[in-house]
Amino acid sequence: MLNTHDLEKRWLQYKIKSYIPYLVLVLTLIFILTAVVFFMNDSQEDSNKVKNNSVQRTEQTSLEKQEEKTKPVQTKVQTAIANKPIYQTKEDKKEPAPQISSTQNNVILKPSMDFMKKLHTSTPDSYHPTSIPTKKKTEKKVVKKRKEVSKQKVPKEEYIEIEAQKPIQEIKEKAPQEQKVQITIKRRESENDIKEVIKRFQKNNNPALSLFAAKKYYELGNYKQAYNYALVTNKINNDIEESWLIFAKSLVKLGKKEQALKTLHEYIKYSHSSNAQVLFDEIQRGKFQ
Amino acid sequence: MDENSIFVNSKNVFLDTVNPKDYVQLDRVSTIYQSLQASIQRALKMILLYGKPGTGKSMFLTKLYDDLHEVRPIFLYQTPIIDESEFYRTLAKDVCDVSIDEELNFTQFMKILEDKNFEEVPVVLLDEAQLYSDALMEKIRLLSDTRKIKFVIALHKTEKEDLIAKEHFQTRIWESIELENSSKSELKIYIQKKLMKANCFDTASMFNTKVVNKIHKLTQGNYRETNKLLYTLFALYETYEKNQQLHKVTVNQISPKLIEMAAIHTGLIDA
Repeated sequence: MLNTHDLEKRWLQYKIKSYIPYLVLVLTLIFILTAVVFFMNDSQEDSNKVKNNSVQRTEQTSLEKQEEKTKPVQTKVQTAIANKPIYQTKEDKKEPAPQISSTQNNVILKPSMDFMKKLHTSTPDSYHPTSIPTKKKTEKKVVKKRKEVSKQKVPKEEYIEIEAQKPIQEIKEKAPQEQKVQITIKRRESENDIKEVIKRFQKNNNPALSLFAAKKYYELGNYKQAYNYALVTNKINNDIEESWLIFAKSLVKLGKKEQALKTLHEYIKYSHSSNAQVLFDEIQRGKFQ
Repeated sequence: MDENSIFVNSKNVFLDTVNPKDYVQLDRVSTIYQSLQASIQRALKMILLYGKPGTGKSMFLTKLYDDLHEVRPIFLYQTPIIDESEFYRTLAKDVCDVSIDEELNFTQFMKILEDKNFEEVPVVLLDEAQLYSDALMEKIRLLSDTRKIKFVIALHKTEKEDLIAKEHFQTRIWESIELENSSKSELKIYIQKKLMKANCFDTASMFNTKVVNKIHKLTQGNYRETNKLLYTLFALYETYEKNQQLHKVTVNQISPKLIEMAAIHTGLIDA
């Protein structure tokens, strides 16, 4: 008689022993698989993070673009109140994300330039045929023009004065390329505005409208048209100080400094305008050119 | 109950005994056996039968003796006669019918042998010949050189000492036959034939190929190891049957669990 009880015990031990290598193998495989899965997930997360970062960056850039598109009026009003030059504010904005501005440059520059060209060529002349201003001039003047538009929408005395004090050259130099998109959009609005204003002026001969057109053309650098509309305004109403100032400034810009001084002198005699006197002195000293 | 139990009967089939009646005729073994018989008929001095323990050498010699002892003079010595004098005296008595009570040396036995005229050359079967001393083996060679007597020597093939390479065998053995372990298919036939010979048809049908493969894996097809394992296996079945625990194990085929338990018991598995 065999001791089956003892043999069964030994057999159980043997089975457990024989399964140990398989168990170890399975556990090792599970460990390896887990490690691989963990590693894969980790690498995927990293790549996702990189993607997200890039997406966030592009989102940020687009958001910043939008902000810059919508903000300029506010920013400038704030800067004007703080008596700070515009270019400083723009530089401050640029500093935290220099890469973004570079991408903006690449993306925005070309289409905006083409668009500006089209707009410029499609602008109708209302009264006098004028020579088409050069591309560079247009770009530079657009900055001021947009400011004028913003002035109309948000009329603030302080802003206008400070803007007047700013040297045009500075704005030309400091205006970054990224602003050009904003400028283009504003310009289009102002072009439409001028068209509409001129149409309305043709209908009702309102000097306020012709003065607006004169200002706009002056801002755009179209001094001939500015001169014309200022002259028209003065003919209708010779008591509008601003119109005389635009008239004189346009003459200076057109190289007729003596005529400008003469006209201002006559106007000062008539109106005793302090602003006209200041401009007269500046032109005489050569500060305003 | 014990006598009628199929497991008890099957267990007894695998008792490790050398009985020519239990000899199982397998194709390969049968071919070897026929070639051995043919070799005996030829004028060969010595025939070497070698193989690992449990490959059936003893059974071969027993079967040969059983088949030939009525037709020709044949003498089987399953247990080696280590003493040289006794060896000569035994041969003198059995082969030459000369009884000598005193000490007999090689020269005296050679003289007896030369004086004797045999109608047919007697065949002497020496099992476990690896136990004979080298000196005696050399004298056996000299005896075979007389052509008065023919020796069939069965010995273990050991790894340490390759006996075939020995000089006295290399030069004088005319035929050597190697016995090997069985293959899987041979083992299946061996087990089933063995059981069927004892009318254990039920247990014979319990050995399917899967079971036999498992047994072969454990025993490497060695007949002696297989007999031992199967004896223990049926002993286990017998125990379960006695304890009325047969429901614990499969009976439509041999339980792998019981095979492993039997292997643990016989030492084939080190648990």
